[in-house]
Amino acid sequence: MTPGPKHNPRGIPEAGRELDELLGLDPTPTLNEEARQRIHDQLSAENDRVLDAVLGLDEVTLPGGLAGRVRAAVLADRRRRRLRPVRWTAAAVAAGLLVAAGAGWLPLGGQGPFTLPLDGEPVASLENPSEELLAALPLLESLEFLEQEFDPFEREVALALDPRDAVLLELLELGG
Amino acid sequence: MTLPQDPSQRPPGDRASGEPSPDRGAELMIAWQRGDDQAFHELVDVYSGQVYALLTRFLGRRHPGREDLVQEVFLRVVKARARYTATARFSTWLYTIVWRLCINETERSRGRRHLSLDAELGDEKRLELPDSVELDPVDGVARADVIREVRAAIAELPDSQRIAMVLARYHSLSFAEIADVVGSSEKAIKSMIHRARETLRARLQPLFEREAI
Repeated sequence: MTPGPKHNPRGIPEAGRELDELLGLDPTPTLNEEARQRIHDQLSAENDRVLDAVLGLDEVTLPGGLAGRVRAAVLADRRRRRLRPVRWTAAAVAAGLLVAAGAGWLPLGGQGPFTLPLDGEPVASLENPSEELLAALPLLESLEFLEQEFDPFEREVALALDPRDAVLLELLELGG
Repeated sequence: MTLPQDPSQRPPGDRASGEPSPDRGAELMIAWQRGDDQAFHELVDVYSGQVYALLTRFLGRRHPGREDLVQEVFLRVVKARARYTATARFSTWLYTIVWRLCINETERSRGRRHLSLDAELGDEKRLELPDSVELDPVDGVARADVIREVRAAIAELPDSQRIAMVLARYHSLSFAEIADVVGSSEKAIKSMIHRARETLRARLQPLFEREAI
């Protein structure tokens, strides 16, 4: 039996070990702090660039006509807001009409809820207008406004109110 | 509100968003305050897309009624018309309105999700579809995958990090401007964006090798 190669912990043959020791003389290279920072910055910038490029792939497609629909919605909202005070005005106009009718000034015919005056009350005329009629005149001037701003259904609702409606009379008092 | 910052104070990844300069929005708002209705129309033309994009990236593409929210944003602009003063970039002011709506919507959505079966099954992400993803004939499928991953990664960020990151990356706002929008400090925003980017980087790392950039 021939003796095997001399044992060494790294399993390197004798000749190889000499070379290894020789190579070990070369010190491990180290980076100075400045160089390390420079590499770190470059890697960081590269990471940012790559991340941004990936994020940039996500695009949002806008629905067609978006701006037009937004403008339309804003306009519709504006109209709604304008109509709210108009509805109050309409109620006041209607109340005025009813008071006028109650005073006998408006020729509303002899049928239905407008067959006023009630028995025993004085009859007003153009020559002798009642106080209520005079009070209602500004509102009556708004009839044209009522015609322009209301659709037929709203006009019908506004004008179909019963003149004896206590709520309307109360509203008139508050308004006036 | 603060005035636009030095470009060096802009977050990493900041890029030109195509926003008109110097501040067309503020000019239009002031013109509208003076009675020029056409200015408001132009304002809607210029900014409705940016508002929609911000809402989409923050709330996600599955969120219903994003377009209604754009309308709501501009209705709030109308209401605030008289109060507006050009002390900041118009977009910063506008995004503040968007952010408030986003908070409301997020809370509402969480309430809805709490009640929904989807949440119980936990399969919400499975339904996240890559709408508006244009497929390239060669690597279309891979690209769609990447985009889906990017959207999912953004969606998983906490709300504050997500809005900060989206405003920085896609809307070119500075740290200070983002701080104004979300009502936080510039320092906190810097930290939020840093954390968001770290999270995204870790989450999207496998894509970096796949995506030819």
